[in-house]
Amino acid sequence: MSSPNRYDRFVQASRNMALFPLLEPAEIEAFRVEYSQKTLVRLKQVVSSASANGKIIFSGHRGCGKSTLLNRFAGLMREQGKFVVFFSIADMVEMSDVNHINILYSIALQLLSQATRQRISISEQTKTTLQNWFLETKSRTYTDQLKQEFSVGIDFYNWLTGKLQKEDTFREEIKLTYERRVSELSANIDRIAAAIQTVTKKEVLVIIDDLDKLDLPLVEAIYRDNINALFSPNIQVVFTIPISVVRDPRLRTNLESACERIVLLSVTKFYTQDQAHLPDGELILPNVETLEAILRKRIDDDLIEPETLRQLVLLSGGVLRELIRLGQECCRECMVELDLAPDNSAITINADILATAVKNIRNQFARSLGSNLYKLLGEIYGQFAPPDARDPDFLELLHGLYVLEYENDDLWYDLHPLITDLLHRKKILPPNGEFA
Amino acid sequence: MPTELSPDNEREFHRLLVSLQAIANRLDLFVAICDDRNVQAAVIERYEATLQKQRITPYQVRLSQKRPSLRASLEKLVAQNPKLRSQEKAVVTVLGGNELLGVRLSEEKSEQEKFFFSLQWTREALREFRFPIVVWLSDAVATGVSQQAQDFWSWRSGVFEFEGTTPPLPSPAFFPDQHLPQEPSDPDILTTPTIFELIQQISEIQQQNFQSPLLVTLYNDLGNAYRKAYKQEQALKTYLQATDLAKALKDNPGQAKALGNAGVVLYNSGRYEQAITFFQQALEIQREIGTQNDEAKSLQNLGFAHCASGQYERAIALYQQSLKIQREIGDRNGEAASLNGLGSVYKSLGQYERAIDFYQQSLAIDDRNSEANALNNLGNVYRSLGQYERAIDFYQRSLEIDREIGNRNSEANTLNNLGNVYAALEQSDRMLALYQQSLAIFREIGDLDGEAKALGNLGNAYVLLGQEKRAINLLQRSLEIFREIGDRNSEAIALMGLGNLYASLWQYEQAVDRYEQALEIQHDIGTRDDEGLSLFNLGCALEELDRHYEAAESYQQALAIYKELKLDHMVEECEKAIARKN
Repeated sequence: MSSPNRYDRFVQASRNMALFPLLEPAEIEAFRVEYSQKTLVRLKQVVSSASANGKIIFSGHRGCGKSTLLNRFAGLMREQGKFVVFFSIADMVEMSDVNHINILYSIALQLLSQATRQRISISEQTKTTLQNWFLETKSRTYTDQLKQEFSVGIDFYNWLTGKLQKEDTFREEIKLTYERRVSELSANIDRIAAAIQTVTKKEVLVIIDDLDKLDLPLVEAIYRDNINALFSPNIQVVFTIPISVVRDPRLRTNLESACERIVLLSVTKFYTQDQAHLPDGELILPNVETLEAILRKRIDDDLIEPETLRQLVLLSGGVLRELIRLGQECCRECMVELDLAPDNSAITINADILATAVKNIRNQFARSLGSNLYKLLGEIYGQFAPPDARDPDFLELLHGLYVLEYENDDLWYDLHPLITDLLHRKKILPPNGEFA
Repeated sequence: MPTELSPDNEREFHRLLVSLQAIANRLDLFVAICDDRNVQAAVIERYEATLQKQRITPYQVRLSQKRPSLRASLEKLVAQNPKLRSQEKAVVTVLGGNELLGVRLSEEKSEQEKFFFSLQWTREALREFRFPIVVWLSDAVATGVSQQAQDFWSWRSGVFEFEGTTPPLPSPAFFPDQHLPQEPSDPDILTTPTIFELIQQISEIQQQNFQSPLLVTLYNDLGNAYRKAYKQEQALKTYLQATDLAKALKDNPGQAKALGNAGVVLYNSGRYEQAITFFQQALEIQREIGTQNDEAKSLQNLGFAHCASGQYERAIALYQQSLKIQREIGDRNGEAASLNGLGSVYKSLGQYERAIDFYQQSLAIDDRNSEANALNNLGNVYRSLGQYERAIDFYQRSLEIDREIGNRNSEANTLNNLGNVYAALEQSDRMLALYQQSLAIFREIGDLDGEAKALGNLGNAYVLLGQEKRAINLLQRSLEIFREIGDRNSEAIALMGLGNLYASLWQYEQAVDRYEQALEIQHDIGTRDDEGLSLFNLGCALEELDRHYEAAESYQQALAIYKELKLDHMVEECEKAIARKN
C-alpha cells in the first residue's frame, strides 16, 4: 500500500472518531455497537414497571454515553407505545438560570409543542386556553405586553422558547408567577398530558437531558430544596443528574425518597475488584471486546496492532469518550509520522505510538488536577473506596473522571488508568505495571 | 519574518497541522496553549498559509474583553461571513483567550471567569457551528478551563502545547513557605533582583504578620517593579493585593495609590476604559481624604486615558480641573504636566496653534524636566506643521536639558523624534544615526517599549531607503516586542506600519490584512483617531485592489469617526477620497 493512501486512511479513521454523541441516523448506523445493553434494558424495565407518575433518575460519568443511550431509549419507548418528549434543558433555558420552575415550565411548553407538531388533534378551544395560560403572568401589564408582542403567523413555541432562553425579565416574571403556585404549573402539565393521552391513547413520558451539566450549586438548589415541587406533575419523567450529586450523601436521601428509582450507567469495567490491581489481572473479556469493537468500527484492522488495540481499550478505563479521544490521538501521531517521513508506509498504531499518545493525554489530565489531591487519590487506590464519601474533594474527583465508579454487587472505586500511571510516575504509587 | 520554531514546537505544529488538515465539516475543538505571543503568531501564520493552499479558508475571531463568550464571538463571525454556513472548508482561530485578566477588577467575575462560564454546555451551545475551531489560550487560562469548564474540556479533540522562547518569571505567591528560585531567569537583569528581593522581603514580613500594614507599601513597590519589567498582569495582581489589604486595614492613601497604579498598568496595556474606572476610584478616595496633589494627579491620569480613547472634550475638562487644583496648591510640576496634556489633546484635534500656546505656558514653568518635555512637544507640533527647522531647534534644546539632568529615557525619546524630522527631510544618514543612538539608549536602560518603538522607526527609515526586506524584519521585531509586553496600542501602530510598508511594495492584499488586524485592536481598545487612520489607509489599499465598494465603505467609516472626533483636517481628507471615488 502506498503511503499517501495510508495517510488518508488514518485521516478517515480520525474523522470516524468524533467525540460528539451519535445522534444522526447515518452515523448511528455506521458506528453503533451494542453497548450498555444492560443499562438500556434496566431503564426500560424501570420505566415500564414504574407507576404512571414515577420519576426516574438517570446518572453516570461524563462521557460514558448517556446522551447516546437516552436517544436510543426514547426511540424504544416510542416503539413501545409511549408518547415520548425528549429534550435538552440547554435548548430551553439560559444555563445560569435554571430552576425548578422553569424546568416545569419547559416541560409544559415541550408537551404542547410536540403535540402540535405531531398534529395531535387537541380541540382548538383547549389549545387556545392552554396557549393563553402560558402568557398569564402575575403582572397584568407584563401579560398584556406579551400578548401584544405575540402576533399571528409566528411560531408560538419557538417564540416562547426564545424568550425563556434569552430574556431575564421573562424568566423572572415566570418565577414570580409560580413561586407560590407550583401546583398550578404542575396541574397544567397534567392537563396537557391528559389531552394528549385522550387523543393518542398513549401515556406520556418526558426525558430531560443535560440537567447533569449544570453547575453543582445550581443542581443542589434544585434537588435539595425543591425536589417535591419538581417531581409534582403526574406523569413519568426521566431526569439526568451528575454522578457526584447522586453520591453526595446529603442529597442522596432526598433523591431516594422522592424518586422511584435511580438508574446508573456505569463505566464498563475490565476487572473485578480483586483482580484490578494485580500485574496480570484476569480480564472480563466480553466487556473488553465490546469496547474493542467500538474502535474496530472506526479504524481498519491493519492500521492498529491487536495488542495495542487491547492496551488502548484498557487505558480508557471504560469511559467511551476517553477511549475515542485516545484513539484519535493515536491516529494523529501516525499522521504526523507519515507527514514527516512519507516513506514510512508500514506504520501502524503500535506500542510506541500509543506511548506518545498516552503521554499527551496524561499531561492534559494532569493539568486540571491539583497536586493537593494526590494523597487522596493514593488512598482511594489502596482502599477501592474514599476515606470519607462526603468529602467534597472526592465528589470533585468523581465529577472530573479522575476516580471512576464501578459496579459489582457493591460499588467500588478506582483511579482512571491514566491517573494511576501519573501517580506511578510521581512516585506516589509504587512503580509497578507502567503503561507507557 | 516567521520566528523559527524549536524542535518541540515544530512537532506540536505538525500535530496541529495534520489535525486541521483532517477536518471534516463539523465542529471540532482544538486547544492551543502558548504563553509567548510571538510563537503563537508564527504558528498561526504558518498553518493558515498552509491551509489556504489546500483550499481551507482560515478565519480569525477575537474574544471580547467586555463579554468574553466563545459562542457570541463565533456567532458574530458567522453573521459577518455567511460562507461559514456553507459546505466550504474552514478553520476558525479564536484569539484573545490569553489576554483575559484573571484578576477581578470591579465586576463580580474576572474576565477569565466569565469566559469559563460561557463555555458550559458546550455541545448544545456550539452545535450549530460546522467548522473546527482552534482556541488559543495561555497556560494559566488553559488550566482554568480544564478545572472550571470541565464540560468544554471534555469535548476537546486535541491539545497542542507550545513552549515560549523566554522563560516566564516566577509568579509571586505570597505564602511563607514559597520556594524562591535562586537565580533570576529573566533577561531584564536590571529589575529582576529588585523583584526577587521584594518577594523575599514580603514573604518574611508575612511570616510575622500576614496583615502587616507595611505590606501595602511593599506590594505597591513590587507592582512598580513588575511594571518596569513589563510584567503587566503580575503588576496588576500585586496592586490589587495592595488594594485589598489597604482596604482591610482602612489605609485610605495606600488604597488610592494602589488603585491609581493599577490604572496605570491597565492604561499601558491599552485597556483605557478599565483604567478609567480605576483612576476614578482612586480619585474618589483622594477627594474624601483631601490629598489634593494626588487628586490632581488622578484627574490628569483620567485626562490621559480619555485622550487615548478619543474622548477629547472630556479629556480637556479633566486637565482643566487638575490644572486648577495644581495652581491653587502651587504644584508647579503638576501644572506643567497638565498644560502639556492639554497641548497634546489640541494637537490630536489638529488645533496646532492652541497646542503651541499650552506648550509655551508649560515651558515658562521653571522645572528642568517639564521644560524638556514641553520643548519636545513643541518640536512635535512644528514637525506636524512642516516647520522642520524650528522643530529641530526645539528638539536640540530638549536634548541639552536631558543630558544635563541625566534623563536617559527622555534623551532617547528626543533622539527618536529628531530622527523623525530628518526622515521628513529625507536626510537618511542623519536619520539612521539618530534612531540607532536612540535604540542603544533604550536597550541600555532596559526600556523594552522604547526599544520596540525605535526598532519600528528604524524600520520605517529603511522603507525610505528602499531596503524593504530589512524594514520588514525590523517592523516585525518591533511588533513582536509589543506583543510580548502587551502594549496593544503600539501593537496596532506597528501593524499599521507594516500595512504601509506592504502598500509601498504594491502588496495590497498583505497591506489589507495588516490594516484589518490593526483595526480590530483599535476598535477593541478604543483608540478612535488611530482607528480612523487605519480605516483610511485600508480604503486606499482596497481601492488599489479594485475593491471599490469596500473602499468607499471604509472611507465612509473613517469619515464618521473623524466627524465624531471633530478632526476637521482628517474629515477633509476623507471627503476628498470619497469624492474621488464618485
